[in-house]
Amino acid sequence: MAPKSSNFSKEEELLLQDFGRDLTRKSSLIFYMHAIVVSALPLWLFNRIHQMELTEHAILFAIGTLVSTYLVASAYKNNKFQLKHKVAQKRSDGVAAEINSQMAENDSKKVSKKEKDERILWRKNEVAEAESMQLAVVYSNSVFLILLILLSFFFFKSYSPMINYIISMIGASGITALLSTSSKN
Amino acid sequence: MKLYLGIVLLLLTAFAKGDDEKAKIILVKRILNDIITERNDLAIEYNLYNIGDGVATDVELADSSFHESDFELISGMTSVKWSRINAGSNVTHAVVVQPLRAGDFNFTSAVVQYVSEKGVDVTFGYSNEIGEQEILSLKEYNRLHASHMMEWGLFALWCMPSIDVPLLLYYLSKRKYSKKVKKN
Repeated sequence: MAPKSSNFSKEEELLLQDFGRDLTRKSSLIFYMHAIVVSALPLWLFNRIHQMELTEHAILFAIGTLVSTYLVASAYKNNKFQLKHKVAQKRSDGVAAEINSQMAENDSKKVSKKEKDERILWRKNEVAEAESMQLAVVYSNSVFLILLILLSFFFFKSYSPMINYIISMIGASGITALLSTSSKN
Repeated sequence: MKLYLGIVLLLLTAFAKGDDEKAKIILVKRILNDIITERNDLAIEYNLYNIGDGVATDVELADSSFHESDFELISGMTSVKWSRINAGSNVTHAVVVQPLRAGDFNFTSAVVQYVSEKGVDVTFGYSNEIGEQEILSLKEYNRLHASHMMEWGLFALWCMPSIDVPLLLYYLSKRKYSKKVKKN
């Protein structure tokens, strides 16, 4: 891992921020909020179908939800990193067109090519960041919920409810996180 | 003449043996339910087959497996009498009970007593033993076998925002930038 250094230029730091795995605070918050909601949704199924009382199994549910939240959030992060570059390539022309039309409207102020390119890069990064986050959430949530339903109501249906919950939640979130680490070139 | 008399006597003896025919009853006990659940009807069928050559009289069937502390009798009787069961015929009797508690229960044999021929003491017979069967609790039965349509429907409804909202935002953004490319 490269040591933190203040020797990077402004452009290099921007590039690192744009194409690195690290998330901004806002992105992390959004991801964790989505993850906790999707991890808490199965509690309804386990309460009503597997007849597990919420109060009786509160500690188990809390631990399961937190572990699943962490794993699903990791899946979001990994998927978003893989999708961002692809989305950025696809939106390149559209963003350039948007910036060009904005600059044409403000044609009283002449803008240098360098500044225009920087604006396009910044805007492309912004759009790619947002879209890759949304896609990562959709994909990871779908995989997690499908896996959970398969594990809990098909493969481990006849197991005791408590064992069923542990295996299904950890299994579904673990496999979702594992699948997100695979790289497709 | 003596030969013919001998043959006639022999034939009479053969027919006279018919008076010593005995009845023999086989009792088969069956549980008709696939799943036994607490507080749900449980149907038990008893089949009595007279496989002997004689008429069985004063036939009594009794099954003391279903004590009132464990089962509630819904229909039928656990002690039944028939005055006669002819040779080669059978009778069927059914009882419906409701288990009062969940858990494993040992279904033991029913007993049949009958008079197999005149002047002979009562004969006792036992049915097959069904053995230990699991009585599911209502909670467990609902968990495994109820359809839960409403629960699934509500779950699908609550999952929709987690998937549809980000998907909608993505498609709105995608459409916006695709339009800009087409415009230029």
